[in-house]
Parts: sequence; structure tokens; C-alpha cells
Amino acid sequence: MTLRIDTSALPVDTIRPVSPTICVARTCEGVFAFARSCPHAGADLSTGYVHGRQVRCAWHNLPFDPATGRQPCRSLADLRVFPLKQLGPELFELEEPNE
Amino acid sequence: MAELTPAYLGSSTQPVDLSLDEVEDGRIAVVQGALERLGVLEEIRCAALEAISVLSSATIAQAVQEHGFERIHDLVPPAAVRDLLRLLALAFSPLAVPIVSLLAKTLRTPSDELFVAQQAWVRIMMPEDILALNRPMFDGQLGHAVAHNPHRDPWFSQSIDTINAWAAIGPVSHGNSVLVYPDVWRQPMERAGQTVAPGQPLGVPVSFEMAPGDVLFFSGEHVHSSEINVTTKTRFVMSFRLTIRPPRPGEGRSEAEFHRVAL
Repeated sequence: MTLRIDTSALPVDTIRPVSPTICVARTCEGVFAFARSCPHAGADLSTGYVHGRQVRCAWHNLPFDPATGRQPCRSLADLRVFPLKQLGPELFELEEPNE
Repeated sequence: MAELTPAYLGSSTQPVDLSLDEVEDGRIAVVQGALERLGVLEEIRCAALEAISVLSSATIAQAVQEHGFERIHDLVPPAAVRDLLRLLALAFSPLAVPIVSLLAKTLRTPSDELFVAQQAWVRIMMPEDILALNRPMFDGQLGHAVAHNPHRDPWFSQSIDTINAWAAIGPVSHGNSVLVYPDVWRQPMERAGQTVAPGQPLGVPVSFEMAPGDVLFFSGEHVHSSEINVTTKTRFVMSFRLTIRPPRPGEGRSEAEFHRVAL
């Protein structure tokens, strides 16, 4: 399913859910889409926060690079990230997987 | 990290100006060097080394002394770390009341009495990747060896309005600290059992850099959790609990008896 995302109401340093499984964040480096479920304990990353270039889970503070999904623990899976196609200055599109 | 920075009070040369009723009312503060000034830090560190010697070997205890408690995960076998948690809790629980009483005498209190839990909570959080290799050994050790989800203390076993005295025995840093969520202080929260229900905004948590002997004071009514240990260092902490008025039971079975202490 294709999701269209209007980011005009997404200020820098904020995260917002865009579907039951995906959220978007705007950091100083741009807009990123990633899975809502934290690979550590399954907390909802849409309630996380932006810290510099990172997105952090509010529950246990696990940091992620929202561009790659990488996090610092080898024992945990990286965060699933979703490529965004930019359609306009504040309009993006992504393909939500059918799962 | 958070815009709200905790109050750091009292280096070894400065008087401590912290009132426990402010802490009950939500203030978060680190009293620097508190255990060292009381002469308690060395006692705890020596007891921990002795316990490591008994549970593993004198050579390993010597290595921990040399390299620091933050290297426990490199030096002490995981089974001994698990037993260390239990052994130190047994050893220091009888000393909780005298230790907290001494600590409280260095602070301002609203009356001449306190109520102190006769229990020491020992917390040895190894780096997450090390913990993951030994996870079954630490099952159920939430907040002691395994990261605890956000919660308020009275939701499971503690008195309402309990104050936590969270004492660094080894160094604590961002990346292996406790997390406190001041943005939701006294806010109604939906629960899932004994922790915060998923999906609720918690704001930006505060974490703490602490040297051995520093003591963090915060109310158990603050939503708090464990920071996943993404550092290469083990975080070794002992915590104590007290109330400034007669304890009122929270939910569940109380983990510890509170003793009235005249100051």
C-alpha cells in the first residue's frame, strides 16, 4: 500500500506516527520513515524523541540512526527503515509492506 | 540530552542544600560524593570485592579492584555476577537503615523522623551485548540486571511517595544510567500491569552521569526506567528507599519493611 505523507506539520526534532506500523521523524538532516516497534522491547517509537541526528526510544533510550536503522548493540536487530520518495517540498510517499 | 537538567549538588567541598520534601515533591538531584563523605563507599566496594573473591577467585577480585567495577563483565563469570546481586543484597540490607539515616542527616528533612526500607537493591547492569549472551541466567532480574520498563514504584511493591536514594558504586554514564521522565510527573498514565502501557507520550527522559559515591535522589512517583546499557562498561549501583512520613502501601506485596528512624 502506498502512503502519502504531508510533513508540513512535522517540525525539526519531532516524530509522528503515519500508520499503525510506521512513523516519520524530522531531524536536522531531513525526514525519515521507520518502523514504530523498537527492536529492543517493542516500545512504540512514535513516542520516542529526536536527539541531534539520532532517534531515541523513550522506554530505554536506545539510539538509532534513522537513515540506516543502525543501533549500537550487536545483539539486537537494526530498526527497519523505509525509503521515502519526495513528491514535493513537504510531500513524501512510501510503500508500506503488506505484512 | 534533556533540556531539563538535574540539579547537581554538593561536591566534596560544598555543603549540601537538598530538602527531602522537595524530592518527595518531584525534585531530582544528585548529591556528589555523598557515600564517600560518610565513609560508606569504601565499605561497600570492599564488601563487593570480598564477595567476588568468594564467588569466583581472589585473582579475579584483584583484577576488578585494579580495573574497576565497570569491567565486571570482562572479569567475573556471569553466574558469579548473578550470585553477587543476591549476596550483596543480603549483606547490605541489614545496613540499609543506618546508611540511609546517615545520608539523611546530611540533608534537610521536614521533620525529625524518617522511614527507611530495610533493604538494599543491588543493580549490576552489564553491557547489553554481554547480557544477551547470558539472558536466561538473569531472567526476572528487572531493574537489577535487565532493563526495567517505565514504571512508578507504588505500582508494584513500594510505599506511595517513596524516595529513591540511588547510589553509584561504580561510575554511571549516559548510555547505562537510570532514566527519569519529569515531563509526566503526577500525570495520569495508563498502565499495562506494573509498567506504563505502550504508546503513551513520556516526554524526554533525563539520564545521569555519576561518579562512584554520588547519590541520585528522586521520587518513586516519577515514571522511571533503566537505560539499555549501550556502553562498554558495567553499571554498578545500590539503591535504598525511604519516606518522610509514615509509609502508605502501594499495590502488591511490599518488598521491604520500613523502619522509623529518629533523626
